[in-house]
Amino acid sequence: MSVIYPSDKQIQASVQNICEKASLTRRPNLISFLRDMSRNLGLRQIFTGTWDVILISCMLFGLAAVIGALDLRHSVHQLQKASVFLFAFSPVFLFLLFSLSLWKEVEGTSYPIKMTCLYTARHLIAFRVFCITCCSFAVVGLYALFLSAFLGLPGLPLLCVSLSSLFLYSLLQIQTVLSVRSNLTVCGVLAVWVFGNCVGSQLWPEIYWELLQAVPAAAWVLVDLLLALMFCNRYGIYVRRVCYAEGL
Amino acid sequence: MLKVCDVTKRYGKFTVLEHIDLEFTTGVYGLLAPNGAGKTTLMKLLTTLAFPTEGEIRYDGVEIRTMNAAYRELLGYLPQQMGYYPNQSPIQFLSYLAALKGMDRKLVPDRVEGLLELVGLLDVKRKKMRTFSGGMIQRVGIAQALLNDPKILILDEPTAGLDPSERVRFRNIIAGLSKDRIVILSTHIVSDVESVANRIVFLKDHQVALEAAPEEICLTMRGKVFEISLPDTELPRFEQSHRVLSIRQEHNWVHLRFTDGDIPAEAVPAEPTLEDAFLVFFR
Repeated sequence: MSVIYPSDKQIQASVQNICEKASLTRRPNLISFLRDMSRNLGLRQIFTGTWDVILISCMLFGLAAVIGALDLRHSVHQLQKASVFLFAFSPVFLFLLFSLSLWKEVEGTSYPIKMTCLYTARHLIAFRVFCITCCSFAVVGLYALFLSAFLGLPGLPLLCVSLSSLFLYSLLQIQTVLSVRSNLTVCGVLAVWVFGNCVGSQLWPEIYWELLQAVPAAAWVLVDLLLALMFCNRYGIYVRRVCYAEGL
Repeated sequence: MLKVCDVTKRYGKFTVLEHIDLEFTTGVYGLLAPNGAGKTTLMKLLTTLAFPTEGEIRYDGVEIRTMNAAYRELLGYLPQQMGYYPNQSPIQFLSYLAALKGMDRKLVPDRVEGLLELVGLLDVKRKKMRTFSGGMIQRVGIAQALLNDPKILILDEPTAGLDPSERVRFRNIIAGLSKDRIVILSTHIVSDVESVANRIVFLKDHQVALEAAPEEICLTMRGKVFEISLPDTELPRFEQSHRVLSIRQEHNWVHLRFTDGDIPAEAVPAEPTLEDAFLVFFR
């Protein structure tokens, strides 16, 4: 049997027709989609069944943070090491939360039902990452400031480096979870980022340091601000692009 | 109309479904097949939990993968194993899924109450689901599948664990729902679909072997099914020469339904049922 493929125009017209017949809410723009999603879900629903995962992630992250701080205390090039460490370490909490959360969702018996809802398990995870990223700004920021006070180092460069790393990673995470279909690929991409940075910063700290130093502190601030803006906008665009077919 | 166009699904080298062509319009479709024939895989393809290796599935002419969220909004799905949070009550669980289905918050309480009444769980609506029996969990599953008033309702082994009265109630619900939507029911319990399904699909050897109305299927068996009563000592010999469909023991006698082989003079023709056809087809 030969399959005849419809054109994009035909697809759009048919989807419009289907939505009208089924009385589906047609969300005309990004703002209304995000508003509906946050209204319908709410924070309590987004984190349903994940409090154990958050607790484990907090404990592991806290442990690594303490070990990192103690290790840095006795190192020779403290600013260099602290900057490299923070760049590699800042997204670890997001990675832990994401991978544990995804594993729990996929293994859970309610996964098939969630994957057939309007907001799938993937959207839930992306939304969780978004919320946790907002909290992480504060946590990672405070940790960077704590390190600077603890080691007597300048605070602003450390803060900027750690926040930039967090932003970049969070964007990558949301992008992959929403657009890559295979869970294994998503985990692979994110694990490569985290472990690559952690191992790379240990094996070749000078290269990392040179890369970080190549960007002046003011530029890091600018990068952070731009990424913050992009983060807020792009997140919605990613969600919308993946959630809704063309024409919706 | 939901159309499965020449769909093949492979996992590695193993072919689960091969060149499936089906069309679903409004009404109840019973998907009958023995275990391992590919029922659940077909259900997964229809619910976008998996995608075809070859071919495509279209709803009103649009590939369902392209429709994405718009398709999921039309969908109600009850998987073979209903997952739930044991610490939640049915109200909490259904409200949670209603949120995931993007339902208007204001409409959710009334809808949830209505559905719990429909499945007979209103009395236990605030009890934690960890205390529920398998049948009660299944009823919560049926309620969640109906939450968004789906145009396409896909139920994988929906009556597993239900007692006879619940089964009847379930059949009535399905019959009522099928007026203006597609209901696809996968099962290997023939009596579940015999009275409610408008069309029956037999899957055999990973392909669609037959697609017809239940009456048409029964008609093909007319004049081929017989009943006979024998002393139970003669049963082994009889089984060797005939295809026995059912056996009922009564004292030292057995009452048999059978097909094929020589028809003894004492045998009387019987009205064939869908179960007879199923047994003959899948033997």
